[in-house]
Amino acid sequence: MDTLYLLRFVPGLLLVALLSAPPSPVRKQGGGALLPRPGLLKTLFRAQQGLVTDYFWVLMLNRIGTAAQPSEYRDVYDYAELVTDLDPLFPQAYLYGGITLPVHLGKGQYINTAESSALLRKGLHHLPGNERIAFQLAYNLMFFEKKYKEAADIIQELSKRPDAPEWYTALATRLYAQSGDFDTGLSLSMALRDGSEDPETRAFYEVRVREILQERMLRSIDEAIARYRTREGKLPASLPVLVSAGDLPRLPEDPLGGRLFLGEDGRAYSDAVRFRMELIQDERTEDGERLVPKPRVTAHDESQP
Amino acid sequence: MSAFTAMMWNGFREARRNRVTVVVGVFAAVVLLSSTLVTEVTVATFDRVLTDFGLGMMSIILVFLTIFLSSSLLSREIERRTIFLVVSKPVSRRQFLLARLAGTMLTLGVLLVAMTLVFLGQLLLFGATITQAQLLASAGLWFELLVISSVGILFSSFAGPAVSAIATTGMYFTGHLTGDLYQLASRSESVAVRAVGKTIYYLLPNLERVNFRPQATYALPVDASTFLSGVGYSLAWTLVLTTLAIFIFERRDFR
Repeated sequence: MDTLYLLRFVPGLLLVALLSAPPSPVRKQGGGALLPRPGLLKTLFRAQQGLVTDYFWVLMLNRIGTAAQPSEYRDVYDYAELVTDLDPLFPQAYLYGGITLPVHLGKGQYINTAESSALLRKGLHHLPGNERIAFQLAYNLMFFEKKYKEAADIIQELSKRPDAPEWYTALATRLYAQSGDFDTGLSLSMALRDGSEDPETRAFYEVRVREILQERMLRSIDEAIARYRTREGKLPASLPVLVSAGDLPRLPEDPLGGRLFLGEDGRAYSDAVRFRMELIQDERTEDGERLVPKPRVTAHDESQP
Repeated sequence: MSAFTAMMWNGFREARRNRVTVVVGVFAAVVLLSSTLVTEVTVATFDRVLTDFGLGMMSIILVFLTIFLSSSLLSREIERRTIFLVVSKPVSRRQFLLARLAGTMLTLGVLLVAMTLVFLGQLLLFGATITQAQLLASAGLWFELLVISSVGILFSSFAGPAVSAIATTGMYFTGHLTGDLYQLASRSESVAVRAVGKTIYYLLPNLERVNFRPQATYALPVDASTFLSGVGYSLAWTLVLTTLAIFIFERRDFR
């Protein structure tokens, strides 16, 4: 009898050992983690909503911790979607997902940014008063999606909070200018300048008004350069050429009192400021020196496009 | 000691002797303590995760124990013929049924208190905040178990343990979804669908009335009127269900 048991048990045990394998996650068709539908989980575990949400939240954090490839970071989005569908008021899920999803591929190229922004938008929809989610979304809109007007609107809203740092409004005015919405940027800066009793703040927004006016003027020169380039097939040798060619009625005066010049990249600049009023990359030379716009140097044979 | 108290204590002792209750108690303690492992793999949300895992585990374990105990409460006595010993004594069937329910609720109450103490100890150990909502969620769970027990006893008064257990499990899930049914029906353009949906809602117990675990997750305050109205609602349903169970049980022929 004992031998019979052993004859059954030992082969059985050997088979179990042979067939045992680490778990392999099931993937969706077309990629992504295959997760239960939120509706099913909500119905089945209505009484344990918090427990089930936190279970997938812990799995999401585990995914973040183990992700190495961009596609693995993309999987975090599926978990974050599920967690926030189960509990739409879970701020950390939006925030951690939104921050970790974008992956830098090098040379300023990012991936998973659309998913990150979608998650943060969902978060802002459900938690409109959450400053961190709002700011993170504004960051995404500025740096990844180049939607400066929408970012400016969010930052402008945040600046109305009683505990908002002063630089929020300054950033909003800058973003309005970068988006091309000069009128909003100007009216906001003027209102802040005229409404402030603090001399330093008044001075700051006075300069900001001039910076916005300068950027508006530089953009109009950029348009004239583009027209000249389209017609002539090359860049002008200098800015006064635009006047003689009829693309500009006259060379405008810089509101900040600087001298205007044509930069190496074919755009207009002023020597009154180091950079134009836009978000700039912190680019440096190999020696660590910060790259700043320089006037375009032209020889006779270099004025080619 | 009155006959009622004696039967209630007997029910408690029987449940204590029952291996399932003991195993469930030990399992609950292990599960509650093991939820500390979860905090090892989480960030920034320790309080929330500890609360959700602690209260969620308590709820799952105790609800299934309630279904197991209550659905076999009367049918087991009938199957074993021990009911004849009781009904031959000067004890009414009503007293017997209520005493069995009280014994079950005492067992569940003792387990719930023990689990809550383990849960609170765990919170203190991790330096997490103990909130009013956590305590009310734990108390609310007992009233949820009371309604489920009453449902189980009602089914147990006329059906076998398997049928009672399945029906009570169904009622547990339904009881947590009736609110959704009401909302869905309210949004319907059809007057008939709205009427049917709302009628079903009022005919079934809404267990979400005493579920304060979502508030505990976010440490939201639970006002006294919400808590007390939930408690009153559970007691009212218990009264209705046990009255129905007594009505059926008193007319049942055990042969």
